[in-house]
Amino acid sequence: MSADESSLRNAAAIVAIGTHVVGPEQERISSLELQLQACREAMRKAGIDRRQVGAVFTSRAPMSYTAMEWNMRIINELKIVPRLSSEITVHGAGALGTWQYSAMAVANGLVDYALCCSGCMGRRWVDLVKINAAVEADLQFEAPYHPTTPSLYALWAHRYIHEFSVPAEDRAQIAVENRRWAVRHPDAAMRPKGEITVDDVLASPMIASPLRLLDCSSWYNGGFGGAVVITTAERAKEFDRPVYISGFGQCTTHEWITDRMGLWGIEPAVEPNLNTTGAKVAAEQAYRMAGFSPGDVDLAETSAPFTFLNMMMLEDLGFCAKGEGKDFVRGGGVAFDGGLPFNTNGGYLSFGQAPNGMHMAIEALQQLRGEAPGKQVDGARRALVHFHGGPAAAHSVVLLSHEEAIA
Amino acid sequence: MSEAWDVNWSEGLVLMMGPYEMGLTETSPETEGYWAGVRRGELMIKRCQDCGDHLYPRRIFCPRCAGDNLEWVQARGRGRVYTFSTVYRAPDRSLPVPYTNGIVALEEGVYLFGRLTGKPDEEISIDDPVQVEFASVVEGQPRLPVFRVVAQ
Repeated sequence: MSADESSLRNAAAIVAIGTHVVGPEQERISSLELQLQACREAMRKAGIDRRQVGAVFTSRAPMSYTAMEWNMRIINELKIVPRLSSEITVHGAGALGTWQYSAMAVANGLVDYALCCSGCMGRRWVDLVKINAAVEADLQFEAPYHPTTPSLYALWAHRYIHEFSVPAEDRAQIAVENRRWAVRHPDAAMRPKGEITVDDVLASPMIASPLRLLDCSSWYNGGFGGAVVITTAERAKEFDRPVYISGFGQCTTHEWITDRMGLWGIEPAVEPNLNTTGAKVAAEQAYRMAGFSPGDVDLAETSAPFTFLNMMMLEDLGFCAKGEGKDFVRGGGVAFDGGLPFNTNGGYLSFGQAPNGMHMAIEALQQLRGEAPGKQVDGARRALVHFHGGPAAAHSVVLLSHEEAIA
Repeated sequence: MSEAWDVNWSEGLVLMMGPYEMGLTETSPETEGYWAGVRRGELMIKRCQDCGDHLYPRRIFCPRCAGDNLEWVQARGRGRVYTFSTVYRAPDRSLPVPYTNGIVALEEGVYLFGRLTGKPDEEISIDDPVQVEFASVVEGQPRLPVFRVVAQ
């Protein structure tokens, strides 16, 4: 809420993207190699040498490659000697948080270039279903009752549906729309399965009430490594199609969902609730910093792994009012034909959940650069990216602009 | 994974890194009073002796008044279902399904997570009144607080 947060508006830009995708049918590699290949490509595309990288921000260690000092594992391989580096570890929100810290570092003249990376081959090495339930639940006060990850998020879902009378059909529609984008993206996990209908979602087996199979994301059965190089707006002019960081925000409310009900007296929990997440606070800051509003956003990418949470995010990210997500969706708000382009690679629901979500952030950059691997959104100039982690516990929002949108 | 829960949490769980002990996942004497209560069949929560607020059993100081004179008190064990989810796909396929977990709003104002019983899973709803009891959620394992749905 500082008075000069707008000083960071468009002060930094992403000037190179590196990706490394291992598809479901390809041989597995380590999560370390996955991230390093992405870093290598990003640095090569930026045309910078390891000596020019002043800051390195990584997300937390991948669940498939435990290391106490993940950031050091990365710089050790790259032989970078950063003067500013850390793991940004607000759960899954940290992977996008790396861009925020980089923007602050370059905008304040601390370093010329920052390198960010994340990515995980998770499902090919470990049982993410079991591990993640242990990560998302309080080991003492929740885990002994054997909650699953969907069943913890479902605690939000039941309250949200109860308080705003949200029909299952409207939630299902989001899965249907996400799938339409996925069948057009070469790397989407659900591409071979084709399009689905609302009836398909409602007929799919119950996983954790009220969430059915097609209300849930699946873990990406491969790996998606993503890296970017970030520099100042001034230096970015020398690069091909830079994407400007117009605004950003972050908000974390709890570690475990039961303890979220012990929070009060501060947004987004002035009263204890399970209907509004920290994404609202993070997005409000991002819009203030960027100086534009949700109506100016050409496409939005979220990290929501369940249909109901996508609907809550449409509210918390400002695309409709609280409780009106169902009307927004029913009215075609995220329709593949004519709605807000939303999760344009298929999202967590149909691209798959590739920890920690870099596929969503990279998709936004590719759209703004006019090089989307799937369906390109015509004339995309501004994008919103939302990452989160924990049972809707930690949220990062970044607003991105094409150079034509910042003049 | 399930056998790991038969543990005195006040001593924590040792995290192994290869053959070496890397530390404790939880070193929490501050919750020992809760688990001692569970062994006696009493649901214990914390209370701030300075402002009187009842607190989640993890709390080390009072977030309302910042006092650290906390005491263990026995909860009445009555409350209402705030939210819930019935699990049809368990993390461990050996666990019998379905089962229902939820967050209960205790009369003291503290919210706790636990197993919901006393009604067929598909009939449990938000605002159902509950009463704590102690039962094994997996056969042969130690008793835990569970919340039985009772008549209004």
